[in-house]
Amino acid sequence: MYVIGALLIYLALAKNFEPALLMPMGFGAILVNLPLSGVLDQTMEGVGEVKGIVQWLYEVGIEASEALPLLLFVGIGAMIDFGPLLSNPKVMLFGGAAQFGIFFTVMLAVVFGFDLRDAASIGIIGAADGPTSILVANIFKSNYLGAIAVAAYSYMALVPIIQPFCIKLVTTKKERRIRMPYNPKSVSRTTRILFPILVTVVAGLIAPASVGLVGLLMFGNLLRECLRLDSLAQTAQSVLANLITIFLGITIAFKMTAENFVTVETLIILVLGLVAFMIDTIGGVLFAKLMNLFLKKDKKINPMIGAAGISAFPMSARVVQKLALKEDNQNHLLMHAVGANVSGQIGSVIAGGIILALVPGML
Amino acid sequence: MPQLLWTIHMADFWNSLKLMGLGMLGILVVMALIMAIIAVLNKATKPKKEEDGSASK
Repeated sequence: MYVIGALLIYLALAKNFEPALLMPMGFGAILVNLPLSGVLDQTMEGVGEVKGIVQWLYEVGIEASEALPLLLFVGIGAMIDFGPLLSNPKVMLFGGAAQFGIFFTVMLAVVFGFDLRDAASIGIIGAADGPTSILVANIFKSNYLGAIAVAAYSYMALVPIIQPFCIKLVTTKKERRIRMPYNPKSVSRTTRILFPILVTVVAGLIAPASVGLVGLLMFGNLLRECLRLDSLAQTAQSVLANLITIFLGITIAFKMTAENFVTVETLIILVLGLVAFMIDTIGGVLFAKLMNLFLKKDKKINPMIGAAGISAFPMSARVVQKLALKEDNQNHLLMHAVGANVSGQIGSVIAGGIILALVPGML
Repeated sequence: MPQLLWTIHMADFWNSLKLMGLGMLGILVVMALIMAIIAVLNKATKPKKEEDGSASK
């Protein structure tokens, strides 16, 4: 585990792979695997049980309440500008279609022999959303939380490599050159304020289990959009998000003890996580191609926009913009892709809520 | 600890297919609803156009 910890630190610092999460996870992996590590609960002779800080953080911040991943959503919500989505709502559907990788991977994980509870926890790696993955895996009491978190954050860092390959696999050069003029409509402040409230209500009524996820994401966004609480919004998107990020990585490391992590299952989970990201991308692109069958010639969508429907923000939108410019240096798709990308943020938490709602009834 | 890998539980497999169908349907329905909400919000909160000359006197 020391080597794995060092590798995670190397990837974070030397290769810039999600350094804010992978560095604390790598360091935490070393901490929890030291013999008789004081960061884990230990029994001392003559004293009895002594609490360890990492285990305590895990038990209180994740296991007991899922507080750490949920509170991080307040910060994420405060960071997101839903403007590009509100001015071009049809890209909303891509945020749903690009979650297909989650459900496909659940099925694949079952084929590999995982039970449905663990398979659902593994599939949610495809949400491309670390806190959602951690939350779902924890609620389902998966044994693989450490591997799931490592896969979720590693592949998010690899989006610029994974997505272009998948997009090229299912599109032609001609399709990648489709131009989409961007004519944003103005979005009123009332719409910006009502949007997070109404989305929470709709998602909560349809998938009550998603209220924690969607509700806190939208609460953070409401702080941002109301324009009356700038100081709170700034704190949420900087101080709060940074504080939780520091402790989330090192807390997850509690599940990275050698007996939990150095297993064949971890390797399979890493492969399944990669598949989830790939199928998400392909699902989004194919959905855009399907929509094109029903659209007039001058209204066609560049199918690459579908790939931006995953939650990895803003990497995915940037990947699409870069690919579009590579094919045609006058084709600017960034704002369309950003709209699909923020809809992916909503889609991923709703997918998490739907899985939390449906899977218990199937166990 | 985990069960033996490569042992497919058919009940779980059928449930995973059901989850795929219901999950994708559910998520697309929610997204379509949100899309409709955005359209209604944009329409309801759109700044009103100037009335014609006679009305704006």
